[in-house]
Amino acid sequence: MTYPIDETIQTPLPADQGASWFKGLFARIKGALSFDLWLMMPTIIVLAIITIYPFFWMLVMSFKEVAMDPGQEDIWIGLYNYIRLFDDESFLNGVKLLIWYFFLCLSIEMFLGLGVAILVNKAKFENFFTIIFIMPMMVAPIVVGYLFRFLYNVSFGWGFWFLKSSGLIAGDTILANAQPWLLPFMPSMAFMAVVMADVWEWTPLIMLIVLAGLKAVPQDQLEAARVDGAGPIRTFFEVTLPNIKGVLLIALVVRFMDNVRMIDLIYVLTKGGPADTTKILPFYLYNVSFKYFEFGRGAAIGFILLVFTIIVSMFLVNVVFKKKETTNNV
Amino acid sequence: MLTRREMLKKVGFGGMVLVGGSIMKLPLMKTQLAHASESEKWRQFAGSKIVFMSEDTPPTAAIKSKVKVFQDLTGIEIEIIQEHLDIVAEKVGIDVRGKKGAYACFYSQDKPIGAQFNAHAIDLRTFEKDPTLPKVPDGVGDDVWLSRFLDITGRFFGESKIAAYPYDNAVAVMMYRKDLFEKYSPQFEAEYGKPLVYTRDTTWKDVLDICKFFKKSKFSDVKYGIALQGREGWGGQLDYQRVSYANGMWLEWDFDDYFGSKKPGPCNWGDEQSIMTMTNYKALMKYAHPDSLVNDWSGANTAYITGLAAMQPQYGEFAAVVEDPNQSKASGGRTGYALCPKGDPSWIVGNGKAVNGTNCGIGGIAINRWADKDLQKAAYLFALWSSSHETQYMVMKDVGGTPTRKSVYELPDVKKAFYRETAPMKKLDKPVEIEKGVMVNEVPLMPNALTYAPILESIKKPQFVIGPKVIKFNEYAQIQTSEIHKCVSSLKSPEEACKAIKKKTDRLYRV
Repeated sequence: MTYPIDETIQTPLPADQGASWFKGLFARIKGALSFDLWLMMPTIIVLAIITIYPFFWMLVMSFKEVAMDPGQEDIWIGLYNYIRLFDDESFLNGVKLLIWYFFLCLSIEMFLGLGVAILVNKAKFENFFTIIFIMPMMVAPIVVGYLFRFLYNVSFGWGFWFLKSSGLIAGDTILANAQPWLLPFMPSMAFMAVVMADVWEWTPLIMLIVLAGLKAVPQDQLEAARVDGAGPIRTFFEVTLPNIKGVLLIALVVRFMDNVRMIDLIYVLTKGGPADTTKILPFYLYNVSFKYFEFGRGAAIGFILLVFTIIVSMFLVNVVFKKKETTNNV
Repeated sequence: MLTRREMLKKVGFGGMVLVGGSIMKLPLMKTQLAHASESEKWRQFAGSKIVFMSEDTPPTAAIKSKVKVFQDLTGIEIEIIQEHLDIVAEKVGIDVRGKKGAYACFYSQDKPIGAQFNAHAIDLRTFEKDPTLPKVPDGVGDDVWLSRFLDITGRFFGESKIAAYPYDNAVAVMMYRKDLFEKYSPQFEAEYGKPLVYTRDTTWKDVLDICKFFKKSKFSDVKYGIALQGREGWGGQLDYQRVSYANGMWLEWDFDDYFGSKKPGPCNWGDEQSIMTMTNYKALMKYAHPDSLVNDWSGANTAYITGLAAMQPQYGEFAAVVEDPNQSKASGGRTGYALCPKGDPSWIVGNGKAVNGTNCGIGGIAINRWADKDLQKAAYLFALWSSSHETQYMVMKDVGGTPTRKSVYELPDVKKAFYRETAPMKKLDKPVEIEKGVMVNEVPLMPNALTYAPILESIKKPQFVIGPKVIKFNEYAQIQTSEIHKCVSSLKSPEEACKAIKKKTDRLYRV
C-alpha cells in the first residue's frame, strides 16, 4: 500500500529563504525576550534541567516494568501501569481520601486561620500573639506526627484522655478506629485524627497570610463603611472579605500543593491504616515506590498526581488572576 | 647539567619503575597475606571506614556499644546507623537499586529485606574461600547456627548462594503476667471452670477467654488480656500468622518455607480454614488492647510494660526492657515466658494439627555488591566478627543480645540464665519502686536468656513457621493486613476479606 505524498511538505525551501526563516525566528525570540528575561535565563535553564530531566524519566518509567535485580532488563509494557490503576482499589481509595483530606483540612484551616487572624489583627500585643500562634508551623511535620501519636495513645495520651472523658469520641481508641466519622460515607476517626494534626500545624500559615492581607485592606474604605453606618459584620463581608479574597486563594493554592505531598504525618501516625482509611494517594505512591519498589507503577501514579495537581492549581490560579483583573477593571 | 627534557625523562622512567614494581608486588603481597597470621589478616584494611545500616534492635544497640573491640582488632572505622525496619528496607533498597554501595553492609531480615534484595548481596562463599581473609574458630557452616538459620536468612529461592550470615534472631514467645494470673485465678475459675494458668497447652481459644475475662472485669491493675501487633505491614502479617499457623498449620502457600519462591502460584487464602481463623482473630482483636491494630512490636510492648495488658506475644529481645524496673511494671519476676499459644481443635477445619505456632524474623548481615571491593572485604570482617561466638557471647552477657550460634546456648552460665530460679542476678544501685509498695532490688544479668528455653523449643518443627519468603513480600504483607483491618473493623466479613486477599495476592503474582 502506498500513501499519497504531500508535495508541500516534500518541497525544500530555497537556501536563502530557509536561512532568512531561521533569522526571522531568532529575531522573534530575541524580540520576545526582554533584558530581564535574558538575565534570568541561566537560572531558568538550570531549573528546567533539574525538573524536566526527572520528569522525562518518570514518564518513561511509567511505561515500563522496572527491573528489580541486577542483570535484568526493564520491560516496556506500554499503558499497562496506567490501566491497572483504574482497577486498583487502593489507588481509587487514595484518590477519594486525598479529596476528603484536601476538603477537610482546607475548610477547617481556612475557617480557623481567618478567625484567628481577625482576632489578632490590631489587637493589643499583636506581635506577641502572632509569634505564639505561628509556633506549630515551625515544627517539622515528622515531629508533629510523633507528638500527636503520643497525645492519641490510649495508654498514656493526654489527648485521648481529654477527648474520651469529655465524651467527644466513642470507642477505646483513636488511631486504630476505622469506623466512619459521623456519617457512613465520611472518613474514619483515625482519618480525622490525622486531619486534626494537620490543622494544628498549618492553621498558623493561613493565619499569617490572612493577617498580611488584612494589613493591606484600604483604610479609607473601612472608614467610609463606618461613616455610612455599617456594623463590624457588614464591614467584614462588604469591605474586608472582598479585599482579602486574592490572599485567601493564594493560601488555598499553597495548602493544596502541600496536601498533595503529605506523607510525614500519616507515616508516623497510622502508616495508612487501619483498613486503608488514612492511605491518601501521596502515601500510597510512597508505598508503591519505596516500600514495594515498583518504580514503574509508582511513576504512573506520580504522573497522574502531577496532572491532577496542575489542573487544580491552574484552576485556582485562574480564579485568583481573574479576580485581580476584574478588580483592576473596576 | 640536566636539561629540562632529560629531567622529565628520568622522572618519568623512575615513575614507571615504581608503578611497575608495585604492580609486580601485588600478587606477592596477596600470597604473603594468605600465609600471614590471623591478626595480620584482621588488620589488612586498617584505616578504612564502612557503614552498617541496621534495624534499631536491642542486639544492634548491643553490638554498637561494643564496636570499639572491633575497631581495636581491625583498625577499621565503622559507623552503625540504626533505623526502624521500614526505613532500613527503604534506604537499603534505594542504595542497592541505585548501585551506590553507600552501605557496605546491611541488615537483612529474611522476608522484608532479604527476599527483596538478596540479588544485590555478595555471595559470602567467595570470601569464605579467600585465603587472605581470616576465619572464625567455629566456622560459618550450616551446622554452627541454630535451627537452619543460615537457610532462613542466607539462601533464597533454591539458589546455593549465601547472601547473609545470621546476625540476630527475633523469635516470638508469650510473655505473661504471672502475678496477675495467680491473683485472679479463683475468680476466673469460678466463671470459666478452669484455672487461670498459662502452659504450653494453653490454646488461642483459652487466650480469648482470658481476654474476655480481663476486659469485662475492669480490674484496677490491668485492663486488657492481651496486646497484639496488628499494624499494617510485616508486623501485622506476623501477628496474624501466629494464630493461623497454630490452627491446622495453615500456610499461605504450599512451597518449601526455608527457601521461598519467586513464583509462588495460587495462594490458600479464601479456603475454609483461612475464613475460620479470620473470624477468630477478629474476636481476639475485639477483646485485645484497643490500639492493637496500629501497634507494632514496640507499641504492644509499651501496653504490656505499662501494665495495661496481661499478655503479649513478643520477640525474645524485648525481655531486656520487660525486666528493667525503670521502664516496666512487669519486671521484678512478674513475667513468665512460654511458647506461643496452641491451636484449638474447635478452631480447626478438618484434620489439621494444633501446634504452638511460632514465627520469627531472623536478621542477617549482608555485604553490598555495589560497594568498593576493599570495603566489601572490610565489611566481611565486620560480618564475621559480629556473628562470631565470642562477640555474641560478649554482647549477650554485657548488654543483651539474641545469639544465632548454637555454641552460645550451650555455655554453662548461659544455660543457668534460662530459668529465673538459677539465673545470675545483678544488684541495683538503688531499689526501684515499680508500683506503690513494690520494690525491685535486683535484675537478671542476662534478661534475654529468660526467653531462650521457650525459643529453643519453638524453633523446632512443627511449631516453627518461617515464610512466606516470596518476592514482593512487602506488598503482600500490606494487602493481607489491610484486609484483616477491614474485617476487624467490620467493614468486610471474614469471608469477603479472605477472598479479597486471595484475589489481590494472586493478581500480584500473576496467577
